[in-house]
Order: sequence, then C-alpha cells, then structure tokens
Amino acid sequence: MILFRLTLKSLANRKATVLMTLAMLVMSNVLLLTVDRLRLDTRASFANTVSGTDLIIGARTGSLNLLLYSVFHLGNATNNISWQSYQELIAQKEIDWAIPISLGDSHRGYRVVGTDTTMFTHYRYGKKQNLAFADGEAFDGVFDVVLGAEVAKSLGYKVGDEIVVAHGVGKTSFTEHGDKPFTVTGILKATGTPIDKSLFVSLEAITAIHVDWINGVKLPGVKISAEQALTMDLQPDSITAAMIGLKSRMQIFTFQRLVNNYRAEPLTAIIPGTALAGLWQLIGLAENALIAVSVIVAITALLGMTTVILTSLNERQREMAVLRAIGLSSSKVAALLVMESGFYGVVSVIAGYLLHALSILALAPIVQEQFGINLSLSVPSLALSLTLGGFLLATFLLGLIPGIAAYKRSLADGLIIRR
Amino acid sequence: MRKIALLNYLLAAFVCLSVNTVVAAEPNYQELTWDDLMPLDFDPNTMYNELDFSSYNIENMTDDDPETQRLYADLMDINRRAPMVDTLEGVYAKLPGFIVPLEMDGDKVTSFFLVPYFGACIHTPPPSPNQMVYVETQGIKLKSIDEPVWVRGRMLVETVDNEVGMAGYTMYTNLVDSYYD
Repeated sequence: MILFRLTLKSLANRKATVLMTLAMLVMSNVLLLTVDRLRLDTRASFANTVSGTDLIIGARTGSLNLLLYSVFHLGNATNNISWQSYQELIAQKEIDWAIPISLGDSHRGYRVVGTDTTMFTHYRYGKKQNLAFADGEAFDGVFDVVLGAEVAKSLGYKVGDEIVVAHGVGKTSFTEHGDKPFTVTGILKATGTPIDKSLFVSLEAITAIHVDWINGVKLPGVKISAEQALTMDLQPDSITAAMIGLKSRMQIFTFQRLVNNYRAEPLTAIIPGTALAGLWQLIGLAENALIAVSVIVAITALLGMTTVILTSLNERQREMAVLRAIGLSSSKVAALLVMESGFYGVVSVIAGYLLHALSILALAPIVQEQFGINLSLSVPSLALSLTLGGFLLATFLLGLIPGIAAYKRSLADGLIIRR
Repeated sequence: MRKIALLNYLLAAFVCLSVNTVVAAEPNYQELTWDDLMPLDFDPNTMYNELDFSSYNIENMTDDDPETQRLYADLMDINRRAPMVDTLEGVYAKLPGFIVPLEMDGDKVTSFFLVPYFGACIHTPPPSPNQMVYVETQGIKLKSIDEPVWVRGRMLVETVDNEVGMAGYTMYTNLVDSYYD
C-alpha cells in the first residue's frame, strides 16, 4: 500500500507529463473500442433484414447498389422498372408471389414505400418472420398509410393521425404533397430492420400524389384535389424494384437469367443471399484494415509510455536516492516503476471506456442518419476484452524495463547525483 | 496384481467401445465428381431434339426478337426437366464446389447452392438442375464466395416442383470445409 501511495505522490509531482502520457494511452484505447463497436453494430444493422426472398429485381444497376436501395433504403435507384415489364415478368409460371416497391418520397427523413398488401402477407425478415401489426391494420383506401415502429415512436403518431408526405428523400423537403394528406391506419411491430423506419402506402397513392406533378415539380396553376385524384386511373407507370418468391428454388438461376436478358428493358435480378455475402466481404476488408491500424496505434502508445518513464528516470535520480536513503530496497524501487506503468494502464482503460461511451452517444445520431447504422453501447466482445486485458498486462510488463534500469542505477548511485 | 488386471480389462473395454462408437458415428464419405451427378445416358441434345425448330426462323432472329425469348423459354423448359441419378439417394457423398449463398443469418450462410464453377450465378446459360446441389446448414461461416469448398453429407434426390416435375439434389449438413486444407 505504501508503494502505491508513493507511486501516486511521485506522479502528482509530474502532473503535466502524466496527463499527456495518459491522453496518448486513452486515445489508443478509444480507437480500439470504437472500431470494435462499429464493426459489431454494422453487422447487426445489415443482418437479418430480408429472408425467404428468392430474387430482387430492379432497373439495371450493380447488385450491391440494388440490394442497398431496395432493402436497406440506402442510396438511390438510377432508374425504374416499367409497369408493363413488371406485369409480364410476374405472369411467368415460375412466380409464386411478388412484392412491388416504389421509392422516392419521404416523411420527415423517413422513407415512404409504395407497395401493395403482399408486403404484409409475404415479406419476411430475420428467421422467416412475417410483419405483424402492433395496432390497426393494412392500408385499404388510397390515402391510407401504415407506419413502421420507429416512425410512430419517434414522431409520436397514433392510428387515425393525419400526415403529409414530402417529395425526395432528404430530411427536409421544399416540395411537399400538402394537398393530399394521409391517414394512419396501422402501426407495425418493431422488427429491428429498416422496416421500422419506413412508411407504407399503396402504389396508387404514389401515383395520386404525383398526378399534378411533372418531373418532380408541382405544375403551377394545376390543382387536382385529393377527391379528384381518386376518380382518375391510378395504375402506376413504373415501380422501383420488386421482391420475388418462386415456386421452386431450383428455378432461381433460370429466372434470374430471364430477367437479366430481358430485352424490353435493362433489368437486373439479384439473389439477396449472394449480394449480402458480397457486402460482408467488402466490409470485412475495411474492418481488417481498421483493426490492424488500431492495434498498431495501441503498440505505439505503449512504447511511447515506456519511453516517457525511462527518460523520466534521469530527472528522478534525487527522488530515487531519497527513497533508498529512507530504507526502500532496490527491488521495491523497481516495483514502484512497474506500479506506475500499471497505473497508466488501468486509468487509461477506464478513462478510455468513458471517452468511448461519450463519443458513441455523440456520434450515434449522425451515423444513423448518414449510414443507417445503429451505434449502441454494450459490453465489448470477447476478442476485444482479451485485447484490453493484454493491453493492461503489457503496461505492467513494460514497466519492468524502466524498473530494471532503476534497479541497476539505485544499486550504483548513492545520495550523490552523478551527471 | 488383480487390481492392475481389472484396470487393464476396463481400459481395453473402454478403447473397444470408443473405437466402435467413433467408427459407427463417422460415415464413409464417397468422393463424387460433378459428372457422377448426371445419368450416363444423359444427352441434352436428344432432349433439345424434342423442340420443333421449324417453328422458328433461326437465321433471321436477332437478340431483341420476342421469338428469341420464346425459343430461350422453350430451351429452359427442357433444361428444367434434366434427369437426376436416383441411385445417389441416401449416399454419403463428398463433393467439391463453389457456394452461391441463398439465405443468411447474420454473417453466416444458412442455405446455399453448391455449383461446379465460380460465376454460376451470372453465367449464361445457368447450370443444369443436375449440376447443382441445394444445401441447408445451421449457419456456416463463409470465407469468400470465390473459394472452393468440400461439402460432405447425405445426398438426397427431392422433387422440388410438382407442376413441372422438377427434381433436385439436396443435402442437410454442416460439414463444409475449405478445399485447400
């Protein structure tokens, strides 16, 4: 105990150096913790979003791009599928069910998805779970909307409320469909997928709200009221993408070819599992690079700490001499330095975790908005806990380097300071 | 002396029992090639001859022609009815191939197609149904989709589409190993 108090008093004498050394170690810890958290949360955010879907079709684009915008609502489609092509494709005998999706509108930053009731009967996520309603039911009328759990919770909507949909997918839009409000008919149960952050309307609703618009602009002087819109032909011209279930999974490759070689329009069909696997591979590369960098930074910080303690020995000759004079043995002097080094380790791990927690809390909303990844605070993974344990052990062991140096010196030095 | 004899006896019994259980639990996986999955008399040409090619004006057909779509659809129909080797039913097989993931649970693959070559998901025409194996697992870690693997399991020949009379090879197994180990 005395040794520990001596360590603390010695450190208190060199506050500036101690703080800088701690800062260096804390930074490296924060990096390790944050990279690990990012890795785990990215995987959790992307996993288990789509299940039981054989193919996803969309306008011709990269497979990863199609997966991201159709399922994760990240990024945008560059083109649409014409209604005619869609109808022709789903009329094929291989098709069991099809869910059309129409994107392009939003409500206060949340995506509005135009679809039909097959979304509520056939869409599956996680371990082949269907969507369920927490309250209310699916849309029926043209101007009905179903909300995802997160939308209802964060915006405080209930069944029966009226909302207005905006054009475009940003958080703010300067072009709203204010003349055609929607009524909430149902709220879905939480799924832990992008479904929670979406609003669902019928395909006819998407057509209706754009009936007096051309090219994303409301035609000035043309006013078609909601009632008038209902009397018009609201069959959509195009959809953005569709999720497809086939009667037999053995047909997946053949139907995929059919869509990819479809001559009337350039289309792409992807197998969700394969596209997801490709996404993991891509992310894996980036993850490994980040992990390697964090580990190297941690090693650098540890070496820096050892250097600081070693160089401080010169200034502490008198301190060592006094300690020896009052009766501290050489080995206890060495232990003092090991304890000092270990102190750096323990404090940096704790302070590092606190700083990491603060950073996560601060960054979470930004990351959520930009990338759709949910950053959360939780116990570090096993691998990371072992790494931090190793880091702690290393600080103690590295203390032996200045410790042994001090041991040797204190044997030789007396009270006379030799320069 | 008697104690040692008893111990020896127990040890021998234990070894015999454990060897038996090990031998019984581990079936002998027969190494197959993709050619083994096609019946010896399988000749796609004889099947294609069923088509009435005179209904198509082949010399004058371009890629964009809807008639080409129709011919392609007919060819695909025939492709679908490729026969399986029924004697493979129940065989413990070891087959090498590439994984085309279908369902994922987190970053683990829970079902996939095992195909003979990489790029089967975009190759035209797609592999014939008797050159694909549908595999269901409890979740295997996928190193990379362009790396070949060995899959060991009990081969089943299941009817997957009653309407078309289509069958396919299926395996329910977790024994997926890297090809290069």
